Amino acid sequence: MINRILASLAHRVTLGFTLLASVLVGSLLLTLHLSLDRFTADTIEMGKEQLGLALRAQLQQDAQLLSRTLSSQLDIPLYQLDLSEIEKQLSLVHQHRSLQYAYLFGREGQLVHDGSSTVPEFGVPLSQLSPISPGEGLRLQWEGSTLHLLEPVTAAGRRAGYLALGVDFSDALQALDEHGQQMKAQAEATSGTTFKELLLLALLLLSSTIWLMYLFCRHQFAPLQSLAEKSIRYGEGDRNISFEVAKTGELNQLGRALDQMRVRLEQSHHQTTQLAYLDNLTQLPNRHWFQQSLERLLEYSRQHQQRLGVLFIDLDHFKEVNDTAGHDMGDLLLFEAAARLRHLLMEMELYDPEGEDVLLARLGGDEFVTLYPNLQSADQLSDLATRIANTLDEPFLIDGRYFNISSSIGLTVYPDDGSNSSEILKNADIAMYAAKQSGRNQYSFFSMQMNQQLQERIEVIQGVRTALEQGHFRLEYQPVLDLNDGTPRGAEALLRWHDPERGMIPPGLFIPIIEDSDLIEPVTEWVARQAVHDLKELQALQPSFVVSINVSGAALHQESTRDFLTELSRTENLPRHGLSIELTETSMIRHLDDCRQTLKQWKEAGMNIWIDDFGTGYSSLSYLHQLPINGLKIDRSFIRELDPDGSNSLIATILTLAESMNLHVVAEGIETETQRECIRRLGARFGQGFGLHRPMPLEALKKLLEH
Amino acid sequence: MIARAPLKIQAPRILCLLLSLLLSAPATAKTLVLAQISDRPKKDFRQLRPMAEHMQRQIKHLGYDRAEVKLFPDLTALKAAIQDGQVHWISETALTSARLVQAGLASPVALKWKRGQSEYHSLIFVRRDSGIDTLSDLKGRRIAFEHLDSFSSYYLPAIALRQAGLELQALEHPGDPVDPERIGYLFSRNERNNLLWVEKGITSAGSLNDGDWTYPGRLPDAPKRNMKILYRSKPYPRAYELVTPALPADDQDALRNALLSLDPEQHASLLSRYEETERLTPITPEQRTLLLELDLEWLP
Repeated sequence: MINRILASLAHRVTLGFTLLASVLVGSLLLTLHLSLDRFTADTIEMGKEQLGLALRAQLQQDAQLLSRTLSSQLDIPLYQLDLSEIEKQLSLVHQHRSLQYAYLFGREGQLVHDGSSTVPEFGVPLSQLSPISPGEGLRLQWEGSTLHLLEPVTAAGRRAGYLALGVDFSDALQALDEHGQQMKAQAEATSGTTFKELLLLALLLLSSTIWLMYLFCRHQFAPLQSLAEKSIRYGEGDRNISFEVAKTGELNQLGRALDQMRVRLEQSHHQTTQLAYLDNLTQLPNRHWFQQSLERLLEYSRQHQQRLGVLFIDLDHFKEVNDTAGHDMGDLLLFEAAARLRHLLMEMELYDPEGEDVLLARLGGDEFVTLYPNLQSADQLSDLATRIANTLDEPFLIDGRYFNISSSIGLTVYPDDGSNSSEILKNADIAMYAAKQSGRNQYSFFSMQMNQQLQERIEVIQGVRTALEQGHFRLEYQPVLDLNDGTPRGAEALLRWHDPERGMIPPGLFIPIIEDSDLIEPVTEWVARQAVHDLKELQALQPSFVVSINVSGAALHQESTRDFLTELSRTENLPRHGLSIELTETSMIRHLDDCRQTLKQWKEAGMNIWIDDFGTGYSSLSYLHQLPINGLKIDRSFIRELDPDGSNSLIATILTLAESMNLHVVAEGIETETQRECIRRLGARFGQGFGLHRPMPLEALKKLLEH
Repeated sequence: MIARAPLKIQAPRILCLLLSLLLSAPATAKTLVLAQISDRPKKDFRQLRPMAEHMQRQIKHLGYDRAEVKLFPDLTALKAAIQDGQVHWISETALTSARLVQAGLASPVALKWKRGQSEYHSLIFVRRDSGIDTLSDLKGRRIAFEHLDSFSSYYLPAIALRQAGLELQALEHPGDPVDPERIGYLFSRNERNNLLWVEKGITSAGSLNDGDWTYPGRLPDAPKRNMKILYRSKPYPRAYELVTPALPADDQDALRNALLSLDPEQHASLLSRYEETERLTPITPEQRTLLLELDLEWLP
């Protein structure tokens, strides 16, 4: 109950005010009460004192008047000692009941008369009867409530004697005292009544003030209450709320602030929605929104017996753009690609940005998807795919640089290639993959066969992971011989996969898949580490022995691989020129500048760089000048073409070129003794091939070296 | 001369008017005046007035339609008033009466039993413890008389002292010194003062009449008991009623008769109010003689 009351700000403020006001009024009343009491007491006391003084003064004056009058009447009787006359006069004043005594003394201060008939104390000296003596000059003296007076009596200009009067004013003073008591009682009663009235008035004022305060607080805090309720309703989802307060001052500010907050919140909510449903980079609908829309379109197509075309677009070599030019460039490229797609579809009236249906979306990475509703023929779909491929094939000019990418597109048609959104999309993805596998920059319609190929690929990737974890990989080495004396001078490490269940898996089946996946990095690292380990054993047998490993184009452009090899060379403390890296022409040529940096680093770390399959790739030889290369491995196709009787001018030219550039040369694919002899004569120093040695396990190579 | 002419012309007319007034005398208003010497006029006036009015009614047929009481502070004033014809009737003690009679200003018509006494004595008293046993012992001392006109408390004691061969000395004030060979005297104004003066030692002796002394309540008892009587005179008439020549002889008779006809029983209340008088009796020859022979010469 109390908590509920205290929950309201108005109540709390009112309660606080009530406590404060009560304490103030209470102290005020207490002070007032004390002051009133003191004032009353003081006033009464002062009044009594003043009255007493006034009364005494009055009584004194009366008594003096009496004594003077009496003394003036007694002058002659005293002079004549007319005792009866004196007695008459004195007995007259004796009728005054408050008169204690009335003595008449003679000139010498002896008693002449006391008012009695026989004057028994006649002659007694004045000093015995009156506290005042004539010599003191005093004429009156108070003794308690008794006033003593001594009045000289003069007759014929001479001092005839003294009149002494004692007047007891105790009755009057007691009456005054009683009067004072009555006044005090009455004043106290009045004071009490006044205080009660004040108390009542204060309580009345206090309670009405508190009530007004409560009303005021309620009125003041009502907008606050309203804001709180609105906030709660807003929090519960009611969006038709404005926090504007029709008041000025802080509450208005608060209202405005809340409303601003509401607007911001709604903006933020809108942004969140966009974030949830839109791709932030390209501002195209994202996968989430697309799938919802796809399901709706599929349902629509099903109901209206329409066909729906799905185009799954993947940019070729986009990963290389990211790797070589950085992610900012990649993002710009994606943005540009999205813009081209949007533009194209708008041209073809297949895209309506305001429409509810999502016909173009970015699924993530470099993957886009486009829908073709109410598809009439497959030609329409292939036509669209062609136009998409063309528009993406145009070079992208980004930040002053040209980028050439192409696209691989997979096509599916509802209901032929799937009955639901996930199936039709998955199949489009498969078709796209098939297109990519077929050499990129083309489109493929989905077929059930593709599905199987994909299954195999997935199995391979799974298998590679398992092989890495469980050590199913191993290296075999194909020796490189000095063709002059036939001694092995080095060996090329070749990856072999021996699956415990399926046996030896042909390298042609899994290596392309590895190169095209994320597995290239761990596999390259494993190969390098194993090759270095083996190299140490081999160099123990023949210190100048060299081992080479193959690094694919994908791995070449990865910083991680570059640094790993550099770091490995350093930590394993390899002798210079012990390890060689073999790279294909093609992999280097694509991003020549980045490549040059990597090669330089490796070379500085003591590794040799060889160009593998030389002669099959790029036609220009100028890069040979630009790159820090140690040697060339002439592709097996040249060796196969060797004519023992011909000039073999191409190979001869290559050898001359290499010699002029101070490059070593290895002839690959030597299968026959004729080929060996022929190439030796042409001037090639090193050779490699089945005709010399087949690839062999490390142990076999070691045995070979021991001979 | 010219101015007085009209007066002469009118004189006979005024004379006629006066005569006519005199002829109608019985019908004209006359006031019966009773007089006394008094130092307490208020009391005495109250005591005398009823009797004066009563007498006026008794002799109203003589033309007295009003009564008046006139009180005089002393003998001189009284004498002057009598000589002026303002007083008809006087009620006084023997001394004043004797003075008026011997001066030919009044004659006694009745004896007044004032305070119930037809005659009284004069007393001289002293304190019992005074050691005074004879009048001679008073020499060099003081005696208190009542007042100058008192018969019993001045004339008689003074005569007695003189006859005892003692000389008196008048004193102004009780404190005045006294010749050792004489007796100083003072006037005490009344009987109470007289007794108290002696009792308080202001004077050694006092003098009073026996009526005051014996009548209970007139003097306080306690002081009186401390006194002893040193001298007692022979008895003298208490008081006299006198008439003056201002009262015609017939009227004097009428007043005397009216006074003597007052019955002690019938007019007891009236008499009592008249200075506690018991009755009024005719004057005896001895009493008349006393007034004529009372020796007044030696008095101051």
